Amino acid sequence: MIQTNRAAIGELINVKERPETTLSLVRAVENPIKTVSTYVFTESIRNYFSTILESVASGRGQGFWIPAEWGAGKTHFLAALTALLSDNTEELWSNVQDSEIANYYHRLQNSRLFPVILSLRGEGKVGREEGRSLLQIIEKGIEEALEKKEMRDEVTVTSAEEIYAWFSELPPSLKDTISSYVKDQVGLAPKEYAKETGREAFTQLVKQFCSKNNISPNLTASTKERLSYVYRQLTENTVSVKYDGLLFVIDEFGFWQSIHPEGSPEYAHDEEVLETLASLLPKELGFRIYTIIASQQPVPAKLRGGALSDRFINLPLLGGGSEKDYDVIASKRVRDIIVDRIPELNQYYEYYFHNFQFMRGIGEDMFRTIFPFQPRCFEVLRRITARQLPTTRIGINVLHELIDPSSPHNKDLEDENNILKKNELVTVADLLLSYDFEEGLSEASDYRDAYKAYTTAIGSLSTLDLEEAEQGLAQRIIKTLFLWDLAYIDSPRSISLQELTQATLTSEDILKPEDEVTITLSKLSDLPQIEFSKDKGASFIVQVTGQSPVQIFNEIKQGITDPFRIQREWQRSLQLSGEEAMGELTLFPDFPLNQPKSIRVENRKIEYIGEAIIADAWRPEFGEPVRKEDRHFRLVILTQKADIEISALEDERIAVCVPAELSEEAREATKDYLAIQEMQTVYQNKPGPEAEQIRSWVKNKKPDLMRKLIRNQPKRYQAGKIYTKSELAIDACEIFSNPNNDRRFDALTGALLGSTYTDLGVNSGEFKKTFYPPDAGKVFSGLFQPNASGAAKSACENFAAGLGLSKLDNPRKFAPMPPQPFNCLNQKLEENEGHLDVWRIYEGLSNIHGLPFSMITLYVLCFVHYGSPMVDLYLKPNHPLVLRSGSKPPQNRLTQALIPEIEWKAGMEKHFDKLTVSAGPVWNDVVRFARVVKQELHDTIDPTEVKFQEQVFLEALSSLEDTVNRVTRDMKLLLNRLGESPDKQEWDAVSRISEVTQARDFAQFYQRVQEKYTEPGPFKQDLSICYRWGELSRAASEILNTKDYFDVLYLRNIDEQLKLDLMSFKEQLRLGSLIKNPSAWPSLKKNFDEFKRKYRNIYQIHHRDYYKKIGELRRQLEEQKPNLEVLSKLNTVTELGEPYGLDIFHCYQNLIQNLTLCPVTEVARVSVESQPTCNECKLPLTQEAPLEEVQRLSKDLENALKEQLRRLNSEMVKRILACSNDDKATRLLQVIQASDIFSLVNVMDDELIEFIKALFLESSVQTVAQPVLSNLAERYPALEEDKVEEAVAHFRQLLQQAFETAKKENPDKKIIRISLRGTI
Amino acid sequence: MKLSKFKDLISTFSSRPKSGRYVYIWPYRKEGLEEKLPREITHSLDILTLAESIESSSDVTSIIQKNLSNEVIQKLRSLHHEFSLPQILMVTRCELLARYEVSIGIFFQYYVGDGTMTVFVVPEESQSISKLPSYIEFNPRVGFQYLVNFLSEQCLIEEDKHDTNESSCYR
Repeated sequence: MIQTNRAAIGELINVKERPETTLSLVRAVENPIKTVSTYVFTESIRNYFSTILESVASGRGQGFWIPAEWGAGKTHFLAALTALLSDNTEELWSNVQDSEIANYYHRLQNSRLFPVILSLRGEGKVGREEGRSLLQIIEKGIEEALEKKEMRDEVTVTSAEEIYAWFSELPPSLKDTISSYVKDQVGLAPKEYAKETGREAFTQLVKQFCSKNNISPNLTASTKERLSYVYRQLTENTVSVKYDGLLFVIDEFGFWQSIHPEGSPEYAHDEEVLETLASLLPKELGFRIYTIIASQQPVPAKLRGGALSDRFINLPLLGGGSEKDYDVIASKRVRDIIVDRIPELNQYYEYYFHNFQFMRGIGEDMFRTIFPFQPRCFEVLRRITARQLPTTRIGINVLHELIDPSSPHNKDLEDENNILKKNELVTVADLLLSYDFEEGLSEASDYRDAYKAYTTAIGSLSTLDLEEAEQGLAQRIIKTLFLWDLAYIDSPRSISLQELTQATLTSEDILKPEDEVTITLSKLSDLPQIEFSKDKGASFIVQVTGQSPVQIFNEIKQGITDPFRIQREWQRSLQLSGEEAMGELTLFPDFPLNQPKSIRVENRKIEYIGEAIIADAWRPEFGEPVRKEDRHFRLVILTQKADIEISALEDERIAVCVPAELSEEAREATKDYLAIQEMQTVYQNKPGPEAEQIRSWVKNKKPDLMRKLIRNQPKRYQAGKIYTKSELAIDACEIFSNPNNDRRFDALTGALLGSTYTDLGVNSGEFKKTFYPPDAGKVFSGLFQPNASGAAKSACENFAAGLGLSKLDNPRKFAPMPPQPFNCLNQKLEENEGHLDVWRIYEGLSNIHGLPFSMITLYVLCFVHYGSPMVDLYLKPNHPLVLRSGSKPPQNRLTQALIPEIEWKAGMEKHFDKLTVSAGPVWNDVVRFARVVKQELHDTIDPTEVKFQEQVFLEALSSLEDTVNRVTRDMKLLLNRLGESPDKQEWDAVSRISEVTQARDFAQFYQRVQEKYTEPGPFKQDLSICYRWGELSRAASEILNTKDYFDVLYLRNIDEQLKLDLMSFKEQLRLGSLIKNPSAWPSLKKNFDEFKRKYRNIYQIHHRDYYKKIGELRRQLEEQKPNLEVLSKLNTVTELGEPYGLDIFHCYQNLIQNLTLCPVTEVARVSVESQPTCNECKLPLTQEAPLEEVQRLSKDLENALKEQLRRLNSEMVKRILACSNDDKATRLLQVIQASDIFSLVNVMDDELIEFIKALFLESSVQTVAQPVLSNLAERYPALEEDKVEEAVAHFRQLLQQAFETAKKENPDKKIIRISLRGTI
Repeated sequence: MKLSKFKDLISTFSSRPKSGRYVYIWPYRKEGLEEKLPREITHSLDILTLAESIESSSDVTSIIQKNLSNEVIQKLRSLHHEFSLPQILMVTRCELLARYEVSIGIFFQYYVGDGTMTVFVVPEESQSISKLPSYIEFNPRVGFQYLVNFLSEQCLIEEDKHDTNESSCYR
């Protein structure tokens, strides 16, 4: 588990008031300061505001369309914008939270827009067939706006107004006729009637008249003219307040669009009105009309602005790459970061950045902006709430509810769901802690079924085999998958294992996080609601009813009872292929039943070939001797229990493995497997979602069951028995505990061959690797062919010495020891009088000495070449063997001289017949060394070319010399600064190279290089050291800077992890190790940078807390200043005695000087980038505020004042004060008698001090210190009873002497007071 | 919305402010609603009484509409300013809203929001008047229809006969 010491979330944020989530445009505009001050500007919103404000500032009218999903913040956008465009006072604009937007304050100072604000929710249908038109609603809005501005009578708006205006302008004849009509109807003249009942009533009468008399009033007809009419009135001088433009703000237009579908007459009318507002009036007539419309619907095609922005400019909220705006807005609306706690926030960032992939694309600033929420919360929340929940902006409220201290889960400090007490980010699963959110999900029709499935899944957790520690993770997984499913309900998608691990913030414990999630998910996939596969990831399935797959499975399994069927299936399962076993490895997948299969094993570092037979029953031929050429054993493995007669085994190299009876566990596993197979078959072609669900469950479950079945197989063989001819004690349990067949067969044949080949003809213990048949050919090639491959050389190094064909120190040089097979050959040649059939050699060396054929061939050829005795190898007629030149060996005979020329061929022994005893400086020298310096150089004997080659070479050599000089200089510096000693061998190597590079021609070079190196290899090796040093020298400057940083870095005891890191770095910063591996420096540097970031966080916290304490201590000290002054004043009264506590003043001055604050007060600006302390104050991390010193000073000061109070309290002083009739003396006396320091400080001013001095002067009291007591003690260091009288008499005498002395010294004093303390 | 759901909503609503727009139509007798609402947070708005308080001699529809609308806005504003949230507004005798075509939009603009609930009481059958001259056509459902047109049937509170599949009528 990663240790976490991060601060709790609640300590790092201030939770804001619950945000209003269902804004009303009208109400929000009526409260402009709150609306503007709470509006959050993101980059895209800033751009949108700028676009609109710029348009207003430039004086060009324009339409803007704000489309956005539910909850995207349209109304708040409109309200903030409207407030700013309607009010250009500084009082409002100073509340803008974005400096760029706030700058428009000056540019809009001369703008004066008349605002018309409309919300169309609830408008439209009014019970009639045809509702109000958009124009009518706009006109009504204008009227209301005029009323608010108290301009109703100055501007005419509606048709009633126009009729009245038309009537007023009529020629007298018609006007009189209409007036008479009105008077007849209502008894009043038009003017009086209009005044009494309003123009509306009057115009109705006028309309009646016109209708009866078939008169058509000449009114302004078109939308354009009517709106122009209003605009002109508002912008002309005739009105009391002149405006220079109109601002139409229309919210909830989506509602309006939903009741006016495309193609309807209303739709056409709406388009005409909007086009007039956004295009015709501003573009054709140049009117400053700004129309801003917010809608959930996109802008209609006809109204969409083109490149010239001729209609509506589209400004989609949270769209087109600004999706992250939601994260920013939502976070900022619900909480503020405590700026002082930024270092702790950075510690969060460091933790998540290093442990979780999702943080990789998120910078520190963005992390702080969205803290404490994991980014995926916003994605899920936004997608879910945008679709269907009871309110549009519930998302922000959900986040607020999660961190609100008054929320139920945050009230209980012990509640594990208390988010404010946690030190982990809020995750997707935590969203369900919100009551509103969960309630919304449970009720919304789109989500209701999924919610039921979710509660069913949570309720079913108790039925699963989950450990207690897994319960929490299981719940988090289900919740995350459930919400993920809702977020992508239209296009369901699974979530990958890695994503889920990240989303649940599963961190490394004993297991890797992904493994932990995999284990829990595997268990959860027993629930019908959870689907999981490693390839596709996990997903949530909405499943609430029906028989669960687990129940169906259990029913089928109960029906499987036939023991033979179970036994057969178990045997069959032993040989399932990888595909059938779903990737699991069965015991014998590639073995044919009852037929031998060739296998290879390793024994004593030699590979042997033999055969294995997997058989369902014993057969006699399995016990016959192993006869095939170059075959060394036979393994027979039965698949069911059987009794074997030892006498049936005719070869010691045969072993028979027999399993035990099936255990209960094996039977259960087999039944599980049979049941899942059956279930798969039954539901294979069934239609319907339930069958689909079951198929999915089977698909997930089957691998698990298969794994159980197959992993049980070895146990049966472990409990079984192994038979051999020699009845070797081979432990079946041990053999079958090996993890795979290679290891099992190796172990089994190890026992067989070890007991059979007791006199192995080769010292294989010296082999460096296992000897495989092809290695014989490689060794041969390595020994005898000048251009042998690397593999051939390696083979020589690995085997030649062990084979006895060369010496350890020069394995490629043919120098037989000689080996045992040579002795065997000699012996056989002697026995056969110098003529030996080759097959006899193979038979003997293979069956008796356990040598593979390829190795025997190698020995035979080497024996011939060894020449002791001189022998020839005769080949069979028509053999295919050839020499390297391509020709056949003459006379079908291989002689000692021809052996190195023969082309090795696998199985060439088949063509061997008999073995019979039988009766012979220049550039090109330099170039192999020169190519070590420059690879491109080549052999040549052409003098011109040699000259050119030499020139190229010397240039390379000169460059190398420069490199070596630089590297040597840097390394000396590094060694010196890091205080390390050089590695002598490497220094010697570099020195050798340095000497060689000083050669000035190739002859000189050759001479020097020959002196130091006999072969190019060592020269190359030395040069590689130089290059390695060169790599490190390039980082010398960085390394030294790092060293300097460490040298002045001091950590506290509490910074344990950093101390460990620091120790580790210092260890790694050793030149000795860096020089071996310079490429480690970049990663070390990266770790150091990371260390610095961690250090920065704790340093910033220390800096902040230290100066907070310093400020407090300074305040405490300053509070002591009056006390100090009083003490100082009292010390001037010499009659009270010697000054007291003089050291306190010094101490105070020192302390107050040390308690200075750092000029860097913003914690995030404290930098430790170039040095480990603050650039300004150099505060060490280990420095603590002088708390104790300040406390001690306060205590000392208090004691000093008490002492002075005690002196004032002496009878003598009191008497003097009592004698005075002065009020001050009385007050002081009261303070002294009360022994009250606080009051003493309050009353003791300069005047009072002077007064006391005067009193003392008047009374002529002088206190003098005399060492009376010390003199007495000197005379009587110890006193017995009989000396008391004497001592008292002496004391009296001393006192008298003291008074006499004091009187002489103070002749002007009336009263002398002796201080017995010696000093005062 | 089912009556039982409505009761649950009232219960949670009275304990804390709740996000959303909560506007409902109660098609039964006023008394039946009153006994379900918590008195301490419930306020009443009787449209007829409100209309009686308007001083105007005009009989012109548009003027009356405007006056009535202004009075309602005034009342809604005062509720918002004078009382804390949550609060429930019971609007009774709504027929005048229909008669003078007062937009229900004003309720959304001036009242509806987090922590407020509006319930329009429009008993479907209670307004029938039997003794009217034959030439007078009286539609007792005018108030109900007006509100349903404005809002939607999903805002209707119904007895628990069937599930309407919605918890909130307006978003």
